[in-house]
Amino acid sequence: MRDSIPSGSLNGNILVIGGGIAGLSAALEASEAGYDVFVVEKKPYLGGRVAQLYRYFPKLCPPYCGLEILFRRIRTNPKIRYLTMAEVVDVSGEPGAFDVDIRLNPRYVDLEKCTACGECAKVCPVERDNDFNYGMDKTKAIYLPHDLAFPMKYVIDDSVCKKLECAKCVEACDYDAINLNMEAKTIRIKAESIVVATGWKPYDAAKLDNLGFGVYENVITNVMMERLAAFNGPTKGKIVRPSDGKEPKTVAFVQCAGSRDENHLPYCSAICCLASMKQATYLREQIPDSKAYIFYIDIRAPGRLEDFYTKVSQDENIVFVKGKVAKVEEAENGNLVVIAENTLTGEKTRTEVEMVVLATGMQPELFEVKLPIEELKLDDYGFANFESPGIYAAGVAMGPADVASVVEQGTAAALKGIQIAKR
Amino acid sequence: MIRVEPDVRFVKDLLKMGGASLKKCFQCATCSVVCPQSPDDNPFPRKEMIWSQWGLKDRLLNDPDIWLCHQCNDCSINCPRGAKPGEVLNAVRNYVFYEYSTPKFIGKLFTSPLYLPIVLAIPLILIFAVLQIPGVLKTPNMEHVIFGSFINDLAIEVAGLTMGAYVIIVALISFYKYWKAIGMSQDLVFEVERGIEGKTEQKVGGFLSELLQALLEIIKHSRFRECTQNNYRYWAHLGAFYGFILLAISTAGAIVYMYGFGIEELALEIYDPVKILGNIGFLFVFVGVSWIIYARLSRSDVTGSPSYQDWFFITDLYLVVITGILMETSRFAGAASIAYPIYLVHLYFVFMLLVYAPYSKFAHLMYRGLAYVWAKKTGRMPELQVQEVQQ
Repeated sequence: MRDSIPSGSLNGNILVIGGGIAGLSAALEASEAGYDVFVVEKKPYLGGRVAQLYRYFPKLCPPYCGLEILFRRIRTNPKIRYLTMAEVVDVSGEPGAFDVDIRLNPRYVDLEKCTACGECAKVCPVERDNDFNYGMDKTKAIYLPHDLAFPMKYVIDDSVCKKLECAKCVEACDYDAINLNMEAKTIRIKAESIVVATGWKPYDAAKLDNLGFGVYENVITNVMMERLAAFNGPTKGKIVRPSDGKEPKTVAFVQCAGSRDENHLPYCSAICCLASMKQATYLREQIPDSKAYIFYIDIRAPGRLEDFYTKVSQDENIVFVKGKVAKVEEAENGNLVVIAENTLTGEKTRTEVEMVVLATGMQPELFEVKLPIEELKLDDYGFANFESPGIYAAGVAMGPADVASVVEQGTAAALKGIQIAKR
Repeated sequence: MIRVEPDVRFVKDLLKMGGASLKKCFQCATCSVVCPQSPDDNPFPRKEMIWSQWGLKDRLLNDPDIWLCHQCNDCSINCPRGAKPGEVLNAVRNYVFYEYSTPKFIGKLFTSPLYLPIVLAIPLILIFAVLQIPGVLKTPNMEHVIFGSFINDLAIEVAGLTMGAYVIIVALISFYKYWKAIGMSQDLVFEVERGIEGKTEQKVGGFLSELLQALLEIIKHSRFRECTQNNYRYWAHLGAFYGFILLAISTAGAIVYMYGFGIEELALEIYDPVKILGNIGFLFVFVGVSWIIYARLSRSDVTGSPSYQDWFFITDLYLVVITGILMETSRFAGAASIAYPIYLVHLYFVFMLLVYAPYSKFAHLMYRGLAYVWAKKTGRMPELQVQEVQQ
């Protein structure tokens, strides 16, 4: 229910690593069953990747709707305590009695005092790339992670902040909430079981050297497209292309950009087909005379999601082309030419479009950031793949999955976790 | 309705003949796009990959596109599945050597290393038989190394001409069979899914003018230059190719010396123009082939693993030039006891290279040349991307 150095006992039943949709689901289920839960989140806000989405497939409803409900359940539940800007640095002990050392990185803003009035950001002279919008806009060095951030508190990016040299924000704050001397500290939490829900990050599109990301301005990724369409995104929800801010009338969605590729991610990322179809509807809805091309190897819409594919493919301005885009070239005026072989007709097609969206896949956070948990076994790609009493995984840390599935996985992990815990 | 008649044995043969990875393909068509040699209409090698998986033998063996491939390997490097289309197309080409060979049982000998003992034995027996003819083998001059004093030059010429005649006849038969086969493919629109049969448009150009064009491109290696990955192959192949031509010219020169100028005992000095030409030829072939072998062994993930046919041809060629240079050096060194035996070994490898030319990878010269002509006639050959350097 609160985020600061927790007062009172640091004994909990269950520790959840990761405050995304899977971790929050696990934490809520366990706490509502009566167990004490700690949620540890690296970022300054909860909600994870879902907070960055504009809409869910297949219902096309806004994810914030569901997140708000989750946050409300957290706020009113005294059994959940969450720590943002927190990282697990050491785990020792055994199932039923783990000691977990957690480093609390300095936020420089007092969570009790900050009212999110924003006076500090007005006077802050330093800018930083806004990672929440995948670098498509800037924030000040003191910033609110996003409009609907939970907790709704400012934070300072200490990699750019000049701190005491500047300190303009300290002056501007009427609530005395900013403390530039704040330092990282480590606390020890006791837990009986641990849920690993560390989630994912988009695969680095710059590694796909044929597809021009980072070279041609109007080649963006699917996660960037979500931010472009989102009302709290860098363009306030207007889909425009980066080079000239023009509405793109033609957009090519490039499927399997890195996924199902031995040279990048050898596995299918599970959600990109549906995400691109969903994003094609954003485009079609917002720009009526637009046209979307979806270049794919296979359309993977399992189970009931097939209906969404059927629905989307009825729009004649959403064109499906069977053939992987293996080359993107720049045309005039910032337009792009995507080259693929349409394997149904046997022709190499060169399609000129105004913007390209790469459907980049999911890479587990654990691929690079290792957790200090010995029992945690990872497969070759960094997904948690293990059976160990007291330690359970949930969400994309286990494998690529959509939101509906990871919520179920979170619930499952909670059920496993509480079996070890003693109420 | 299109009838698909899969030939499962053919698939298995391809797997053995260098296409071991073909079943990994999932038809994403990355290969067709990254290929610098592939035309826009019915590009390769994606369609060849599915034909290989399906065992569509007729389509593949009539498909001249496999010769437009120069195994730059851009496809294999970019392939998301490790299906290595470059190697699969090489396997299909190996099958073409067999399919159109005359007689076919000799072609069969090159489909598997299991037959290598027979392949090695045939030239050995033939050479042995020729040497049994009275007057062919002589007592060599041990003071000055003169190869004609060891084996009668006339015998070599007669044997060589006989072999040459044989090679030309069987090559012409294969040539005709293949030309007819690719001609049939002109009537096919390749794509199975399209469900229609159409005609590939013929350009007006005649056979001879297109042949001239094709030869020009082969001489300039213009297609090889299109490779973006592995562009070393352009230089390496160019070296081997021109080295071989220089060696052929110097051989012709030697014949002119013997019959034009009546020199009976041929042992040219090092400064003789014909000898110089031959030595330059040796150097080119040696460097080119060494480079190819080195690149294939050290970086096979990028250059592609060579098939048995590749190894046979390149090793034989290598041994021909190495024994050749050893003959020359031992002759100049006056080491008669080394020079004469090496001469025999050299003859063996030369004989093997030439007599098997229509069956081994050597025959790529003929099939690729024909496919070039066909591609030019039908307008299938894409424009050259790499600009020729203007003089």
